[in-house]
Amino acid sequence: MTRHFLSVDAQARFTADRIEAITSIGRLAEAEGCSFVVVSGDVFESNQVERLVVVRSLEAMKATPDVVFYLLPGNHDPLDATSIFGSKTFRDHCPPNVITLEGGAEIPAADGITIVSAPWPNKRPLTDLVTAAVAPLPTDGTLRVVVGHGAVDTLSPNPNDPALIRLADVEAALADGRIHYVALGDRHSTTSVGTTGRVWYAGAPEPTDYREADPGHALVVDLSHESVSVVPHRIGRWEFQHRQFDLAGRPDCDGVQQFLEAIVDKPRTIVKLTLVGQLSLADMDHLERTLDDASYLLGALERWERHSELVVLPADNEFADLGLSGFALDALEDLQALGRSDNDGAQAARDALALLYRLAATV
Amino acid sequence: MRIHHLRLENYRGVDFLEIDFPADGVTIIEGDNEVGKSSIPEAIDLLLTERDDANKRSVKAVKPVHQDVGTVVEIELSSGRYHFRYRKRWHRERETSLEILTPAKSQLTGREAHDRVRAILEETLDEGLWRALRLRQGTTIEQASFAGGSLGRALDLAAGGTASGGNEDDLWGRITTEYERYWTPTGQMKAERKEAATAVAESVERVADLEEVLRSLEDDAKKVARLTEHDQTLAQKQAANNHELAGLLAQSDAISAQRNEVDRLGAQRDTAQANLRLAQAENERRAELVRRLHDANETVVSNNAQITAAVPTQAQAAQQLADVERDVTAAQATLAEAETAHRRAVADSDYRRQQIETDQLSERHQRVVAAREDQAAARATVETSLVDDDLVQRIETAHLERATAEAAATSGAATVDVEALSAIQIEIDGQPVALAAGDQHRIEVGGSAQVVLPGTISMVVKAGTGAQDLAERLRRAEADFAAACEQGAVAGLAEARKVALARNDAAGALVRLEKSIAQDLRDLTAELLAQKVDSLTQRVAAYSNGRSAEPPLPADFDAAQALAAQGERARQAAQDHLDRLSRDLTVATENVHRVEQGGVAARARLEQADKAFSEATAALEVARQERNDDTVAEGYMAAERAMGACLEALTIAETSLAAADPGAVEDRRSNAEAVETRLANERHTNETSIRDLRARLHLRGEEGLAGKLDIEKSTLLQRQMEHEQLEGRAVAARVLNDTFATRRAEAQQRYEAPFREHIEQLGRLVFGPTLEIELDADLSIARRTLDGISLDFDQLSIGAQEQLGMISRLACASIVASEGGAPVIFDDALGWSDPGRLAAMAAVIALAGRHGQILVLTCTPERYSDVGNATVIQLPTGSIATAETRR
Repeated sequence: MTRHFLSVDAQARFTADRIEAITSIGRLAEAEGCSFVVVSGDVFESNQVERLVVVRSLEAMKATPDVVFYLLPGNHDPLDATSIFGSKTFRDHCPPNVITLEGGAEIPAADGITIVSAPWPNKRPLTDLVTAAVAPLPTDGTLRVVVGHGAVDTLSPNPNDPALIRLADVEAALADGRIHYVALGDRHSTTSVGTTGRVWYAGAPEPTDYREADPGHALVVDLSHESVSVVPHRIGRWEFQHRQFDLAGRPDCDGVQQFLEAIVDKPRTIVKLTLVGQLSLADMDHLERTLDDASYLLGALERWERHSELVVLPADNEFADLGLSGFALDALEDLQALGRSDNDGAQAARDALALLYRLAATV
Repeated sequence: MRIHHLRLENYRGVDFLEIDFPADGVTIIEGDNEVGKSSIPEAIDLLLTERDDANKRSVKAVKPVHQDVGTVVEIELSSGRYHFRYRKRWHRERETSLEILTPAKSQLTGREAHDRVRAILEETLDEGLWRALRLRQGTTIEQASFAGGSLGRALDLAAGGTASGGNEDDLWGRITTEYERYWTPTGQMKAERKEAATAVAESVERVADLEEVLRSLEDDAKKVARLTEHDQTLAQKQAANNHELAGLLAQSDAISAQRNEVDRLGAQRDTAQANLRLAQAENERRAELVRRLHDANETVVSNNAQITAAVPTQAQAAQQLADVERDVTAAQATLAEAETAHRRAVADSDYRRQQIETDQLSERHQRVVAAREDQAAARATVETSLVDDDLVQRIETAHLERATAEAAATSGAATVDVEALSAIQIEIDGQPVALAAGDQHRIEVGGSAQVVLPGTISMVVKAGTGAQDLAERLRRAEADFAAACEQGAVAGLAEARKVALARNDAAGALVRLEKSIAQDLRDLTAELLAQKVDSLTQRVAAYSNGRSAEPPLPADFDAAQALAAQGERARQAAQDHLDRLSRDLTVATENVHRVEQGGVAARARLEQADKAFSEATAALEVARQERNDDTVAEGYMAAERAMGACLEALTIAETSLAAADPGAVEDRRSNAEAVETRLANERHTNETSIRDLRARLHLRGEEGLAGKLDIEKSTLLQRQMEHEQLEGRAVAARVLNDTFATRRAEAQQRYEAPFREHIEQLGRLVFGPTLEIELDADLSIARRTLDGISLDFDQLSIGAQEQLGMISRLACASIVASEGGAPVIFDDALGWSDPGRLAAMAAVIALAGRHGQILVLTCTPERYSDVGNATVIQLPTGSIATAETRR
């Protein structure tokens, strides 16, 4: 997963940590004595990921050979003709403890426990795959874990999507005792769905975006016919933070500085700043330096936003200090007038003033 | 800045030199070559710029050769509000000392002193201007360089603008440098920006390409799914088709059995049909034999009847022939009669015509005879007449001449008019003339006339010679006339005319008669004509005598002709009648012949018919002996019945077969087989497509395209940001550059005018009142206009260039003098000027000297001898000197 805002070394770190998260899950399963691990879809970002990603991922799962990983094809890596699970690379490197869930008959995963899977056959299925997989199951005392992928109708903003998982059906099956836990994937945020406590999105084990609410976990589920307990464990090491600052002067700039300094694991924190307001040249200069310094430390600092609303307008005294005279003073006054106006060239004039400031200040 | 005092020690070739300068006005420093004039400005520069420990070549260069001594430069100068003494010693015992006199006294040494002076100069001196105002030895024609903006600044200040300093110039330099990072001199994008834009475009393209590939892979995946589904549908169709095909094959077998039965029955029918045909043939043959016998009999009977019937026909034909032959004979007689009558009528007609001819010819002959007689009479008249037309003409002419001559003789003669006073008898030419009283008488006198009064007088009157000639002419005319009349044997003109008329009439009759004769004779002679009349007369008489009386001759030619025509018509009618009968005769003859031939043929046929009858009787007999007629007929009917039974059985079998609709079953079966083949092919194609697509997808799946796209998108975003930033900087640089450039140009325009005016003001002292100049953007002189003639600076003579170079410096110096300014230094200038210009330049220098310090260094003092108010300092040639000052 390449992020444009990451520098080369930060990108390398991020990529390595994403693989490391798999290893962490394996270790967690070992430590917690889990019977198996299910990954509820979108194991890979795409069916077209680089080979090295596949090889490294499988190698990471191979690190804990006693932990069986059940992998479900999701909307990003559906089980179509391009499926990565059918690729030569995957087949060549797949260790014995990794099993792809391809739907069909339920799989006995542990003593008295079976896995019912609803993999995505393509990118746009036209039915609720989970309900379809659950429908034929009998109430026969088997403890069943359903592994599914996609949005649940109660949480989806798009009620017309035919592939939505109907929570009512799922909960009815839970109530009937035909199934006992539903491990869902798709949401990057760790989420308990409904009121049963048996339907969960584990969320992305390593955060990937600013929009994720509570990512970075693996869920340890203790399940029986009678009871369920779900405990999130922190797996992810990276953090995405998006902050907006209104800037009017030096104190606001200092606020930005304080926020940045307070970040703990700076190399694994990615910050996006939306800056709004108006600053003098000197304050802007100061802010730039602050941001520059922070960008050296952080995983990434996104400070460029299209259509930024931060206006840099030099204060009159800033140029007075330069002591320009003659034609230079005339030109300066022209630019200041244009910069303060609402004309088309105002922004260009302000940029020109900033440039002038830089050029004049170093005389 | 003003220099007040200078002191040099061990400076190049100068061991010691000390000069005091007046604060304002012109100072001329005289000295021979190499006494150190040029060292003066150089030493000032060295002192002001180089530290005492500087190790530069320019510092080392001023050390006297082969002397291990320290070089000292000391000056006292004022600049702005500062007045100070400054001294440095280089090379040995280095030192720097500064004594500030105003505004506040202080003393500094070493580095501190140097820095202080730098600060003071920075504050108060325009160093660019200081250098620009100098005109160095050997470079006399160069223009002052005001490009650094020093002059502009100074002028701007002098023109009342706000001062801009070295800062501004530096800044302007930085701005243009920044601008040039992004823009070419023509305002185009620099390569770096184009590359950035290109890089973005390339990334966009690569992202699009990768996305396209990924989309196509996705499409392929969908295609695989669709094809797989399709394959299942095909498999179901295949099963259904196989089932149907089995049913159809069973039906097909049943139909085959039925078809075999039909074939067997068909063979039976064929046999029955063959039998039937044999029986039928025999039956027909027997009937034929019977019929043939019957027919033969019929033929015999009919032939006999024909022969019998033909006998009366023959007789009738012969009778007809005889009748026709009789008619023909009668018609031939009639024709002969008609022909005889016709010939006679024609002969009669000829006779009557010849009669008429004879009359006509005889009449013509008589006319010829009469004409011949008239001809003889007329010829006699012509031949006897002596007067022809010519002679008449002559007589007429002579008669006229005579009358004319008579008239002339009468008028030309003298006249004597005699009037009788009383009755008197006189004689005139012997002739007595009686005159009554009052009578008058005229006497014409031709030659002479004698008038006698008898008894009284005789008077002869004679005419003149003219009258005599006239008389002679009259006598000749009378003689001619008489001769002509005599030739014609006539009395006078009237008779001559009458005789001539008679002769002409006879001649005309001759011609007329000749024509009449020719008309009557035509191609004959009179004799032949007479013979013809005779022979015709005889022939007519002979016919009349030879002809019988009856019938009588027709009355005239017309009646004869009518009879001849009538005869011809009768003859023709008889001929036509005969022709018709001749044809009838031919027909009748042929008829007789034909009837005879028919009889012969009928008999021959009868013979044949008899023979055929005998043969038919024999043949039937033979056949009946073998099988009688009933047996044959019965066999035929039996065969017909067998055939009927066969056909019935066959029809039933065929109906049954048709009911099974073998065609439809066959069509459906072959269609089902085709469907099977098609489905198999389709499935094969499908499976191949799926296999190929899967193989391709697996292959491409190994390429990690999503990761590549991810990286490419990141690169694109990065490049877009860089490009935007670059463009933003470029625009900012342009706006800054353009704004500054505009304002700078305005400022230059503002101070350009006063500078130009000042140069012109000074220059007019040298070049005269019409001088005008144009300045470049860097304030150097571009063109000079004198008396309306403009020349570029480079086109001017070296002298003029040098003079203008000096004038522009002096103009500048005097403008900026009020703001401090700097001394103008001329080092050995005016080497190219003639004495007149030298004097004018001296005035210029003197004028400029009122507002500033001017230092003139020269080895030829006479060049500046006209500069009034100049302080002259003479440098000694020796090595140790204190310059003498002389005012």
